[in-house]
Order: sequence, then C-alpha cells, then structure tokens
Amino acid sequence: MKMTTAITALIDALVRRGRWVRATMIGLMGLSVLLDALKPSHYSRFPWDGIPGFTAVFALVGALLLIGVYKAIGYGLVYRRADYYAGDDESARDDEASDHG
Amino acid sequence: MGEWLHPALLLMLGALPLAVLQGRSRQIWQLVLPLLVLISVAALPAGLTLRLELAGLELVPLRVDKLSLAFAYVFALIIFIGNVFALQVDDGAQHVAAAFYAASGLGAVFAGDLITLYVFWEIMMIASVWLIWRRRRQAAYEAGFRYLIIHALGGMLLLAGIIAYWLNTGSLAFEALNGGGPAFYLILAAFLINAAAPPLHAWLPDAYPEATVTGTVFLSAFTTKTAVYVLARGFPGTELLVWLGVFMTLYGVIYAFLVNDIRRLLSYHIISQVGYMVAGVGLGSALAISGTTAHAFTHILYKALLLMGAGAVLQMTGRSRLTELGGLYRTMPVTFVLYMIGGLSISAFPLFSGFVSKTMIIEAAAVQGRGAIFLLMTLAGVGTFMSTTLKLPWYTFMGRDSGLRPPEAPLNMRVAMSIAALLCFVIGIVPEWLYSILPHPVDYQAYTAGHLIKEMQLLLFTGLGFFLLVGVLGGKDKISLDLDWFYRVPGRHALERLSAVIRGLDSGARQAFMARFQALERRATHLRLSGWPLKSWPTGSMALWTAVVLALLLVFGLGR
Repeated sequence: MKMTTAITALIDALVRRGRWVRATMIGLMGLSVLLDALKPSHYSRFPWDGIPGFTAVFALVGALLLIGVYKAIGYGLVYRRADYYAGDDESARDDEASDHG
Repeated sequence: MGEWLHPALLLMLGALPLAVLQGRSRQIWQLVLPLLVLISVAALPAGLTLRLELAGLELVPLRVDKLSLAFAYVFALIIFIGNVFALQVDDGAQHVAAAFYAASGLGAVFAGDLITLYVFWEIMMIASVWLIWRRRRQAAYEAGFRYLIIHALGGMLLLAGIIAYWLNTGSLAFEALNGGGPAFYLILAAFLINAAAPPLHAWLPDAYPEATVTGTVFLSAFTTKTAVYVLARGFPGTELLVWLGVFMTLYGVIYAFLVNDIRRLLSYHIISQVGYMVAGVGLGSALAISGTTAHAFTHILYKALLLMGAGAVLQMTGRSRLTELGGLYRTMPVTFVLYMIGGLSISAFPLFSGFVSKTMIIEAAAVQGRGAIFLLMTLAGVGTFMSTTLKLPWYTFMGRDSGLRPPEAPLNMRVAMSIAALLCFVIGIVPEWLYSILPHPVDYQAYTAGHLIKEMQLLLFTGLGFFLLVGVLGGKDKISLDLDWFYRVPGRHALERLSAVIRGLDSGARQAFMARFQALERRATHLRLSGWPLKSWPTGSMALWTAVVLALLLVFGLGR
C-alpha cells in the first residue's frame, strides 16, 4: 500500500512539473544531437552514417509519416462502426467483470 | 531426470490433476509443476537425442541443441510466470488447456522429425483454442472457430508438405529444408500461418483479444514463437522471409495505431515483433539467427508483461477500449510502472531487454549492407515506441481522467508482472547471460556510445513527434477492417449462398422423389382397385414372363 501511494505521489509530482519534464526532454534531445555531431561515426556502412542528427530527423519524420499513413488508411479504407460485425464484435465490456480469466 | 522424461510429457501428465484439484492445493501444484518442467529443461544437455522406431519410421521426439534449448528455457520460464498470473482463476479446464498448449510448444521445439513436430503442432492448435473459448461469450466462441479453421488449414498444409517431403527425400528428419519444390513451399506456408504472416495473419488480432485474461498471456508466447523456431530451423537464409518480415514489422505497427482495444493493439505488435524475427531468419547469418533467437526470448517476456498489464486493466475495470480508459495511474500505479517496463523493453530502450536483442537483428541487416531493410526496421521501431509505450499508456493510465477508480490488480498478478519486469531489466543490463545460450557465438556489443546515442535520438524524437500530435492520436470508437474481412463478410455470404443452393437442390430432389413416389402410389392404388392384377392372364403370357424372369436370373447369376 505504501509503495502504491509513493508511486502515485511520484507520478503526480511529475505531472505537476510538466513544464520541467518537457524542458528536460528537449535538453536531452539537444544533447543527443550534439554528442552525435561531436563523436565521429563508428560506422561507414551507409551514406547516412556520418550525418549528425540523421537518426533524430529520421525518427521525427518517421513518426509524423506513420501517423499520416495510419490516419489515411483508417479514414480512407478500414474504419467501420463498432458493431460492423454484428454479433461478432459486440461491446467488449459485457460480462468482463464476471470474467473468470 | 531430463534424460528419461520428455519435458512436454512431464507437463502434460502433470497438468491432469489441475482438472480436479481445488483451492490451495491447485495453486501449489500450479507453481510446482512449471518449476519441475524448468528443472527438467535445464537438465537437458545439448546434443542429447532420443530415437524411436514406430511403424517402420524413425522418429526423434527429443533433439536437444542450443537452438531448441534457448526456446525451451524461455517457454519454461513463461509457463511459471503465466501460472503465477493465473493463480486466482478457478477454472480447471483453462489450466489444463494452458498446460497442454505449453507442453505442445515444448514438444515442437524438441522435435527432431517432422511427424513428431506435426503431432505437437496439432495438439497446440486444439489446446490453445480452449484458452479463447473459456472466455465464455459469443464473440470469443466465434473468434475461436475462425482461429481453429485457419490453423486447421495450416495443419493440412503441413501434413501435405511432410508427405511430399518424405516422398521426395525418403527422410522425415527436421533439418534445414532445401529450396524449391512443393514440399518446401507447403511446409513454409504452414509455418508462416502460425507466425501470423500476412495475408493469413488476421487470426491473431481477431482471437487473442477475445481470449481470457490469462489465456492471452500464454497465447502470446507459444504459437508465433514456435513458428519462429521452426522457421529458424527449417528455412534460414530464405530471401522471401526478409521482405515478408519487414512488411510484418510495419503492417503490425500501422494496424496497432488503428485499433481501439488495448489487447488488440498489443496483438498487432506481436505481428510486428515477429516480423523482426522472420526477417532475421531470412537474413540467415549467424548474427541474424542468434538475434532472432534472442529477440524471441526477450519478446516472450516483455509481451507477456504488456499483456498482463493490459489484462489487469481489463480484469479490474471491465473495459479494454482506449476511448473508455484514462487516468488509471491514480489507483493502479504498480500496474502502470510494470507495464512501462514492458513498453521500454519492446521499444529497445537502453537498459531493457529489447535493446540487446532487437538491435542484433537490425545490426545483422547493417552488416550485410541491407540499407533499405535497416531503415524500414528502424521505422517500425519508431511506430512500436509510439503506440505501445506512448499511446497505449497515455490513453489508459495518464491523459484524460475517465473517472474509473479500480483497485490494484490482485497480488499474484502483480508478482507475475514483477518477475517478468525483473527479467526484462536483468537481461537488459547483463545481456551476456542471454548471449551465452544463443545458437551461435555472439560477437556483438549493444552498449557502445554510438548505439546509445542513436537509440536515444530515435526514442526522444519519436516522442517529440507523438506529443506534437497527441491530441489527435486517441482511440476511435470504431473497428478497423483487416484481411479477415474477406472470410467474415464476402466469405460468409458466399457460404450462405452456397448453403442456400445446396438446400434448394436437396429440397428439389426430395420433392421430385416424393412426387414420383406419390404418383407410383396412386398408380398402385388404381391398379389394385381396378382389379387388373387379379384378372385372368393368358397361358402364353404367363409362360413368356416366366421365361423372362428365368433369363434374368441366369444373366445376373443369382443361381451361383
């Protein structure tokens, strides 16, 4: 019980200090790119191996790309109302509370 | 002990009392039995082989080497963890099904011949479906049937492939299969169905979220990972698998974004993570096969942890949709923290298990100069971090307060999650132990400054992308059609039409028969009433018909 309370308090504290958490994350991002620029690349297997911050740009662009692709596929092709498979994909909540497993 | 008792047999026989034991004695046996299995697996020396002669066929029910042992170790571990998680479940049938399912997984990885493999393959299918059906609701029942049909198809393909292979080679030994020929492709197709490779992958995200809370934990460990094992054993270096695996990594990631149910989201990530392993098998180098084995090992642990976390949420709230959850950290902080350890592990966060295994496969692609494969697998890692480690916990445990205030999960569930989390962490910081049990010697160093900087960049900037758009990334109260739509909608309609046609033909034939029968009956009645059979017949006519009857008897040999 004590541990539960302590963890909740810790998370609450982090939520309250959201601005500080954001600043720390931005600082870490800058640091990771800076270190990448300062440290000579260990590999030269691919053309992008020596480009500082390539992974950072790849991750950001990749994240936005994946979000765009899933939105396009979802709204353009595969989203259907929740009861589309009538009787098949019924509400997930029925009988859950009494589920033995 | 291990030398005379197959671990699968030990587990199957040991599972039988679970059907009748009750209360504390059942719980104690649930803990003791997997420990005995773990000891029995640990006692097996690499190189041990058990041969049997059966109906003229040489069978090898036990073939122990480093590849099979690595899978068997983690199977034995997850049986224990899964049983701890399931201690509160008072359902003997479910426990027996889980044990038989796990035992068949062990039997498959120790199988040295294709017949033994086939037998355990089919037991796995039959036992596992009960983990879905024991949810005891209509959706689970129907999903279980679809699961059964797809796996029955896989079983038939495997049997056909084994027969073709035996006819071609005269051998039933389960070793690397040479490329080409119907046997090669039939067996490969069967293995890929169990690996949930598209296009026959939809059974997994269809059925796993419908299984019981504890059943899903077992399901996540055995079917797909046994498939990875048999692919690594039978098809190393098959180029097709490289691209199929990469496709799986991205397919799973994209669909994981699309779904609303947290266990379905994690199920799609099984496809994605198995994609890394399939690609690793396709790459085929010693580093790639060891990376595949290592990733299967870590994946079983962190995926079980993630599904235990999601299962705990379902168990305690009765809900599993992102749109209905939020803010649960207030009352389920332990579950949240343990889930996050699984999330950091699957995302290859340094210090956690995925970092020391997934990067091996990506490194194997890099060593072979496969730039496109390297980038696409890295991109899938971006998606994995976003949906499993950011989106799901954000909309379940943090974010909008749903107002739900469930108590923490039961102690045994938290203990099971803690064991899995501890293993994820220990493997992450001391990977040498994992590397020492891999099939090939590993010359790979995960913790270099370059790897750490790149990985931190990858994760931090992925996080930036997520939080820039977090407002539009929540779950949608919709379902996402997948390829199972083809057999659930047009397939069902086609079946219904075919059924209607058959019913029509049957009904028409019966009506025609009855009409003819009634006509005959009317004719017979008419004849009887008319007195025609009783009329006087000419002697010549009687002689003629007697001759006809005698001739017929002779022709058809009735006198023989």
